[in-house]
Amino acid sequence: MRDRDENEWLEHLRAEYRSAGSGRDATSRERLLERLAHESAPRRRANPFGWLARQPLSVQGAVACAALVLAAAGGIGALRRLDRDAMRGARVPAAPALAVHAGFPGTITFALRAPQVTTVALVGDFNSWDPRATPMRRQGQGDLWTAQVELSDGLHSYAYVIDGADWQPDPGAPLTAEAPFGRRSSIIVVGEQGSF
Amino acid sequence: MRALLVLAACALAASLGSASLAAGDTTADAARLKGRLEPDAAAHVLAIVDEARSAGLPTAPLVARALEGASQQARSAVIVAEVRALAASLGGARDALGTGSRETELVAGASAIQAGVPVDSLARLRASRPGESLTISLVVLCDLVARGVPQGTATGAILSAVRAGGTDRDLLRMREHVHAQIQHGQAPAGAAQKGLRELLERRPGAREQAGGSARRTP
Repeated sequence: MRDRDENEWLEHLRAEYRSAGSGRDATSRERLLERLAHESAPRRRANPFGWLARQPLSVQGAVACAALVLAAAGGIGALRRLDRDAMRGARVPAAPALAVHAGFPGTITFALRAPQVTTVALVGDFNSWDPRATPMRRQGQGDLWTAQVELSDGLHSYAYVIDGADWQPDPGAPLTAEAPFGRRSSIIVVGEQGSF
Repeated sequence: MRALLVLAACALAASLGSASLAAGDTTADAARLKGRLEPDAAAHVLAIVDEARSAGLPTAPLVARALEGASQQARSAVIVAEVRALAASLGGARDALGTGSRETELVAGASAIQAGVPVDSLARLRASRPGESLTISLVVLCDLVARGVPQGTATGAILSAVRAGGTDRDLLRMREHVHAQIQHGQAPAGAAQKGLRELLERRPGAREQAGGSARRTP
């Protein structure tokens, strides 16, 4: 079963992030992101209904000053991607979408696995929702995109803008209840029992 | 006497400093809004922001809401209406949660109100967890509603979990389980009820403590 391989891979990621997080060491997290960029998720067959079987996973590290949410996307994000791919006539992404944000006081690393896209930007209340303000950086030639931002303590809303037009919430984070302008966002809380 | 003069000078300096900071915030907000919104819309939003500031409500979420609308290319009228609605919800959240509430609680509470959660449910949540932060409880509540859990069911689940002594970590774990169940095809309401059952089962004695509140309409 492909999902089993995928879950094992995600479990591996979870362990790796816990390990990196427990040290509160920015360098080790950077190294980990670099490694992840070269590491592929198990291939899955291009099944147009594959997203239905996708296992979600989100993890919070049990670290005093950090928390981690790790998730494989399904639901809205995958459905929207599926719709977009169908419009483009593209294949269903071979790897699961994956979003991670590891919270440390001050600096938050956002990471999104987004295959087959050209640009990803992070937008949120911390950068005036400006898609030009925080472009995410592709790690190597892979499909992992990351950005680091300084966040003040508090509750922040954010989203990812893919290829300049497609707004997506973080597949692993809590959603905002309202979508005042038609697109839902995600929430991160910084400074309250770490971050999540 | 000299000490009194020094104290008075310090108080004056502090009040001038805070007034100057507030004025700086206002100027920065105005510049950001005028740079991204139509002039009329910017003026309306600034008026709402000023009113909120006078009422002692947080203003950063209002400015952010306007900028979010601008980024999503919403019409000016929609942006102004949404900012006004958020200001009203922030006021409602403060009334329900108390004047001593943290800003994060007010923002999350306002979001819950906008999702249809009754104001008195927020007050009950506060009463269930006095003196402790409700931010994460409210964030989880909003997330459940966003994922399709009926508002009444979601509110009941969170209230039951909190009354049973569920911690923020428990609530976050419940959120993940509900999310997973929904992705596996379970109906959101059923997923929330299952998530609550699991949370209560993990907390020995909590089920009795929660009583039948999981089944009550909040």
